[in-house]
Amino acid sequence: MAVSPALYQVLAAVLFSIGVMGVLFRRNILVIFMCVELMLNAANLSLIAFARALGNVDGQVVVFFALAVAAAEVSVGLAIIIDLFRKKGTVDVEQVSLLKG
Amino acid sequence: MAMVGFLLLAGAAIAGAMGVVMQRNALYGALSLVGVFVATAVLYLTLSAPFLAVLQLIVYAGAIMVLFIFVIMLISVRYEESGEAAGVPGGMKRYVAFGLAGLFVMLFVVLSFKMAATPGTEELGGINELGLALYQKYMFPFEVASILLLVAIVGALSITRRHGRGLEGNVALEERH
Repeated sequence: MAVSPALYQVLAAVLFSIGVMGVLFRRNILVIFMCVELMLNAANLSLIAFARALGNVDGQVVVFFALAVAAAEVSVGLAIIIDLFRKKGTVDVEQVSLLKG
Repeated sequence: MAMVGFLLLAGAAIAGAMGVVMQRNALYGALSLVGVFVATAVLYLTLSAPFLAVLQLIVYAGAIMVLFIFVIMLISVRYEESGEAAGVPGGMKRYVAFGLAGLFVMLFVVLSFKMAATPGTEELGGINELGLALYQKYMFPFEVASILLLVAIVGALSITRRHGRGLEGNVALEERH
């Protein structure tokens, strides 16, 4: 029995939602960042499933660029986290509230 | 048969994702995330995207996760032991999170079952077609992506550099002398 394309979308939705919950629940900025990666990954899965369902390779090209952007994002994001840790001595987002009124 | 494989992989991916959110130690969370990436890479194979499956393993499970684990070892292991970072905050945040998650799932399910009306078994040309699309139709974005990566390298270096002190300010070098 072939797998319906809808099931891939459901899986992508579940993974994305777990990522959203991680971003909102956790306070360790590294874990939050990993959950963002999880959400990106879910979006990629959705795009590839649609590319297959529509028989069009453009979706895979978008995933290719998403990979490049994710790599750039991770390098800059981790640099910011390291700098934050040097200045604040913590990776708890509740303690980094300088912009809070 | 294909269904069984899909369910196994989907279960592995969801279990790994739950691991990322639930693990108290960020390092175990990172290892769960590697599991998710491997499971989705195999799913890409079943969706006739072999090139992206390999790329996922090399870039995500390889490069990006090594960077993550490196930074976790640098920063967070000591910090996690004190038990401050783990734990779920109560109050409104929890309901907002569950509400948003439910909303996303419902939205995707409705949209994707509409999509399911489309045939969905068309074969793609594989790496051939993808390469042609990348180097012909998407030539300009491809070049822009390389500039993006260069800018990211320079940005990461300039952010983590200790300002105004040059090499003399480097703690590791000072300790050596």
